[in-house]
Amino acid sequence: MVQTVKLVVLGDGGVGKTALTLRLALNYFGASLAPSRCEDSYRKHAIIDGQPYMLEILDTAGQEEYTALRDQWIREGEGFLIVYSTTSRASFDRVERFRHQVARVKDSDSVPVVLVGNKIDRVHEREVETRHGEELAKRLGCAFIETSAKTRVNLEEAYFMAVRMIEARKGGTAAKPVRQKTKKQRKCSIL
Amino acid sequence: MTLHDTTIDAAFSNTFLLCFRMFTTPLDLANLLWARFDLLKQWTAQKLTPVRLRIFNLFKTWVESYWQHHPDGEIVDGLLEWCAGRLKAAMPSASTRLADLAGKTLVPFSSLTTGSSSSSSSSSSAAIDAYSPSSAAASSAPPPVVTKSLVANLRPALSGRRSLLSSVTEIDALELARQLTIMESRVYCSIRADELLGAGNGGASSGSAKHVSESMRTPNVRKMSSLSTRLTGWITEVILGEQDQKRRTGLLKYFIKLGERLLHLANYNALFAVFTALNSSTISRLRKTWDGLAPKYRSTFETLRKATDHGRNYAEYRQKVRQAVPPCLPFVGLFLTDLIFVFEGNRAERPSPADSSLLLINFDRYHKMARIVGELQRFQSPYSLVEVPEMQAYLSQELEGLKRGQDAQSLYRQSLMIEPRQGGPASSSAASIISSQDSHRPRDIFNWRG
Repeated sequence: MVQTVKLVVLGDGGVGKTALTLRLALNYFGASLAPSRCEDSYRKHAIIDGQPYMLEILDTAGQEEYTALRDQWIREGEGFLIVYSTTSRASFDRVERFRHQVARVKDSDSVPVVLVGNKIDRVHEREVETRHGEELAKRLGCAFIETSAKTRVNLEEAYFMAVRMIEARKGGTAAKPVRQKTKKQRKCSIL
Repeated sequence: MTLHDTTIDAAFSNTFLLCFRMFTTPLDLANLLWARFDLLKQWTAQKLTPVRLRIFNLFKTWVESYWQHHPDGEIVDGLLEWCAGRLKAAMPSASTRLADLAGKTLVPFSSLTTGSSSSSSSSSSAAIDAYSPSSAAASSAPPPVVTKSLVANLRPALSGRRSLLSSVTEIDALELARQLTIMESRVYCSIRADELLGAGNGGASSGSAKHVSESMRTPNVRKMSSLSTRLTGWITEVILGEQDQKRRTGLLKYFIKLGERLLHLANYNALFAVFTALNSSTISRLRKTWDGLAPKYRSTFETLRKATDHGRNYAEYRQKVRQAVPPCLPFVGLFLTDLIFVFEGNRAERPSPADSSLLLINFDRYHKMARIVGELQRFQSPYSLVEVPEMQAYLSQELEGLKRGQDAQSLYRQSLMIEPRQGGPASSSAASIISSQDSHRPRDIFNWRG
């Protein structure tokens, strides 16, 4: 049985959400793409740990200003990729807001979320160090990965991570509750 | 576009003039055209005149209909010089016309660098006046569903005071749908092509500074999304503001009816906002409120869900809009997503079919972007409706005066207050993450900070 998994890609405008999604779903880039004819461009067959999956990905690019719509997308998603650009500190600073919204709408802290630092191919433009991404992910109870949609580095891995988290959660080994992390965060801010 | 022996391909010209700024600069383009104008001296007179005419026409169309002062402003001086110099020598009357045109449309910009475009389409200015009760179109429009006492109750809003309305449900749902449509249609009709393309490809480049300038370059697109967000927030606030459960169910009914009327008006943009409010985590969790809803309204709600469904990349919604005949207001957000999709999903360049080592501009990408812009523009025509100024004032007041409409967390808290959780242990953890964010607030009714 192929299992369908709904993933939602969130993040600030311009961080490369569409590139991440399209480059995953389409392995090559020669074809001419038009959205109205691309009902399947947000679907991807994948074998993860020996299991077949159909990934359904909701790309929200372009509608960042429609903040009220996000609620609905989050409710429908099972796993989330919160994307920032490693070349934009501002996009990194907005990660937390997305994370909180996911927790609130899902009414749970243990929702599978992967924090994705994209655009690592732009080495010289980097504004967010890897360790800062790791620290934030830890604090927010997310998995963490850095990617490049352009060079396909960790592209599939980012999505597969989310699927594995969903599976782990089903199996009862849910991620550690964030409550502890929150306390930790307070300590840090005092220091 | 400037060959002597072909017919002009209007679609190509349109796409080119809309999109060339994505693959070249205005100055480079102008320089090439000016060079071509002169190159022709070596050619026969037979070719010379048509090619020069076409170059002249291209500049004329550019200035007339596709001008974007930022970044096109860089060619103004060169253009005026060219007009007075080489163009005048070759084609005196053409030179006068272009110089007149340039003087009219470009010079006002030089003193006032607002970055807005001069090419406001005639349809948009028509749309602004079309709704006034005294306009010619008003006579054929359906008369507004309002009573004298309702108008009297709303009148204070005209002078910035609170209306005397005790509940929004006193307004007929159809009329509210119409007035919202008028409000949105005005903004929709003023969206410019360059705004859309700016929003579409701006996303591809990074940088926060870019982000700021982007919001200034896309004022009407922003206005549209802000209207949608505020409408969603307002509906949420109104429902949550009602303490009595029965009356809350009544409000739910009212807004479902509003959604249905919007669907009939083919105002999908507002329909998305209404549905988003009703389907939000804040409202949809109010189980007792929903339980009071008659089956008839439930099935209407499902109709609204289907009409806005994003399954299979909005397949159903897209088909409806494709077949729609104006007037109609499509959901603007999807145009933005589609533009990014095309920009990201198609390469900027492609190898030449004759010589694969040679890279050509992938013009197909820009054709597709222009087509999306064209699809939005297809609906830039006014509805046949008459505005009720009192209601417009009331709506603006309500939408601008949101207390919590922008703050989802505080709305959610209010939702918890009017219908507390059923007490599942799993739910308490999420609250911790919420309260951690605004722990500066003294209020902690649910002891979330535990």
